[in-house]
Amino acid sequence: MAKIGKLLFLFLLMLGFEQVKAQDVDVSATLNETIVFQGDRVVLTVTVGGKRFKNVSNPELPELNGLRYLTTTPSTSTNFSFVNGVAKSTYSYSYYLLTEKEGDYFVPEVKVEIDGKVYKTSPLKITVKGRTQAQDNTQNTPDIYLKLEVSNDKPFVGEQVVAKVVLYFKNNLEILSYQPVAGWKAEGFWKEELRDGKQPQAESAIINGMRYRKAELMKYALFPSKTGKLTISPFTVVTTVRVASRNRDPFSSFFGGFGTNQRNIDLETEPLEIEAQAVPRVKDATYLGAVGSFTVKRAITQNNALVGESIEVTTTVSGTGNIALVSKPTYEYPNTFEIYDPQETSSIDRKGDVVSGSKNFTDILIPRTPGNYEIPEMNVSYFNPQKKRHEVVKLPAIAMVIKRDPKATQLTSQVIPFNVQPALGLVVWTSKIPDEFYNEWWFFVILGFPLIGAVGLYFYRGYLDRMEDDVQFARSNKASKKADKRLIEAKKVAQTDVKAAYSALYKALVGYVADRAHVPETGESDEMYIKILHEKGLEEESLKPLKQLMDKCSTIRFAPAGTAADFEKDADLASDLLKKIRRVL
Amino acid sequence: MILGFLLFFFTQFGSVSDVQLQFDTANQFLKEQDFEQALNIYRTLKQSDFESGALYLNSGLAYTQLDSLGMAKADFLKAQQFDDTREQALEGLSYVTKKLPQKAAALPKMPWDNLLEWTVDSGVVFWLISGSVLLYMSFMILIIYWFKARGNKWVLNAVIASVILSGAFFAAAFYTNYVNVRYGKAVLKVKQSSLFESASTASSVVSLTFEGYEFTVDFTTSQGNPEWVYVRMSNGVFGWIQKQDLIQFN
Repeated sequence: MAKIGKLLFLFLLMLGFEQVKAQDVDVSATLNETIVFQGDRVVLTVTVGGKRFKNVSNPELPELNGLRYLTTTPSTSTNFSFVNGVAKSTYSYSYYLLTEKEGDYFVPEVKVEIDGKVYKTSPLKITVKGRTQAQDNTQNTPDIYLKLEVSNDKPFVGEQVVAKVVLYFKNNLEILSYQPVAGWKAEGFWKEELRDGKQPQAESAIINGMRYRKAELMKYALFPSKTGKLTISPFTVVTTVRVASRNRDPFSSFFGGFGTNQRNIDLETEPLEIEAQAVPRVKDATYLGAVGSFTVKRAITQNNALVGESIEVTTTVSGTGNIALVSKPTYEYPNTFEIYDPQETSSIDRKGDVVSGSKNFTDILIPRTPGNYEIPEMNVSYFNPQKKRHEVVKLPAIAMVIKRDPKATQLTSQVIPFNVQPALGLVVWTSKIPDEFYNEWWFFVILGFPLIGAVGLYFYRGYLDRMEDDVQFARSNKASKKADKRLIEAKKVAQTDVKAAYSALYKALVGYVADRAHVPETGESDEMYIKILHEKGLEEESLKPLKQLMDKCSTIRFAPAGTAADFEKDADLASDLLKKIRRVL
Repeated sequence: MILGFLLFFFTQFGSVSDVQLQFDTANQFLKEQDFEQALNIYRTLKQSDFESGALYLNSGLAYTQLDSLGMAKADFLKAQQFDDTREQALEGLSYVTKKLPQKAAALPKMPWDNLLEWTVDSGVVFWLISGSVLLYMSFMILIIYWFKARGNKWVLNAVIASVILSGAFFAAAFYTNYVNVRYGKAVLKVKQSSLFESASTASSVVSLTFEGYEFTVDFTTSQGNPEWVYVRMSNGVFGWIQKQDLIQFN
């Protein structure tokens, strides 16, 4: 039995070894160009590589459609390598094919027999284009240009758009080096550079009927941050190129060798406009701002905790999309929990064509009161741009049991002193209607009184000052009172001395005129006073009795004194005349 | 109890005695720990033409018992404006602030902030009466200067000083009135609300706010947006918040 087992083991071991041998052989076919013009030659290369094999047959060539073998005798090459102690052999068989007709064709699978076993290559697609259009466009096409190519020109806000910076150049140019100019700003986007660690590889392309080679220099993931038309600004690359001195060499590498006819060229992409669409609203769920494909999980460090112990509630959002723009969901925590500033960590993977990664939000809670609590369940959503709808993720409720720590000192809310007693009984009630007396008219009157009073007193003070300083002003202002006083005195004196009364009457008349006309009271003739009054416009019917009265007053001193009754009439006349004089002086 | 409660709704607050009667009824509910009933009456009393520190204090206590800390904080803030309940209201505020799970950061106050705050707290009436007294005083001194102490520089300087001071007092009254008309206070009464960049939920969120956060409301800027108010948070951040989430008071 044991012997049979050993034999079976050896058989299986041999079988396994044969499997390893078979897996060590690699057969592949490649075309040096996949888009060519009618009449061009392309090279089909069949490569056989592996660690150990003995007999390799020539490839069995398939029938071609639209293409023709220039020769079925291959040019062969052999390569041996010894890497890390392992020997490897590679056989290459190259066949020249001629493109005969326009169209898309396939090079069917090529069979190769190795050590008795047949291996097949994958079919290869080739596109053949006509030459007529190419000849027309030769003069108008640039030899080299840079283009920004985006995967989607109508993305949703937050959806990833792959923007490739692609260099197109004609076959007579060799690209020696390139250097992107720093400072490219994709305003309105969050951008991440995508890296795959490979050197750019040139491949053939037919653009507007012209043969070009193209190489993808850089690749970015752009995420629109707002809706509407957004313009991606030009991307600039400085390239060093050399015009190839030799004929077209289909095997030349993207980076050529050193040369003398090389120069630097600044290349810039055209501004590119894309239109970002708004993400539709979601009902009954909290939108996290995530666009892509994600998983959302919520976890708690411990469901049973003591008062004062910290509990962490972590929300993890992971997947592909705008991971850096995902916002933190806000949960309803029990009121008796102290909540500290959340922590946020993220890891982003930028390899390949998509941005992926995860983002963690950690809420730190400290319960302050024992009891059974629950963080309610919650629906959160992210937007799936492929399905063009929100994906709702239900986060289950989390139950927590908080117990008092028997060893801890009493620091919970229950020991916060609160001894406020309600105010009972009669209280003072005040009216809510504001007593805005300052909006009443009378308030402004009271407020304005000192201001108006100050102005009035200012002028009165000025009047008093002038009365003191200006003699003529003072005489003029006092003239009326002085005349009235003299008239009264004259009437009094008339009872005892009529002559003296007439003298006083004369002074009252002449004094008033002299004071008001600013002339001396004495030393001037009566004619002069009459003349002044005449000039001032006193009418003749007043001037005449005034002249007669003044004459009487002047002459009565030398004539017999009249009676008091006569004086009374003259005094009334004088009073009447004074009224008329006041009007003109 | 129910009858008394129904009677309350059909009673008009014609006088202080009516208000006092209903206040006593609400206090009875409060003592019986029927906080909802008590609050129903307190809320209606707040709509009347009368107010008192005790009303806000007791209302704040009822809200505290119901764990509605935002509303409680608003009531205690109001109660502290009355002399007879200031001390207890401050104690209530301290308690509520400790119990609130989210604490709002506040900008440190500069000396001029304190000065302006003191100016507004002193009230329009204080500044107007002080300014008027000084104005009359300067008028009297002016009369003395003109008619009794002409040329006396000390008296003249006293006139100038009192006029300038009264002008400053009137300016303070004008400023206080401007601030009272334009700005008010508010407290967040819901557990959480967002502060937006503009008066729309579609705009960017400026900050998250939590129950008990205090705001300064700008009534002038808020005009034209009946469902939104423009507020300033205690940390100096401005934004728009939905009116229904706040309890406002002057």
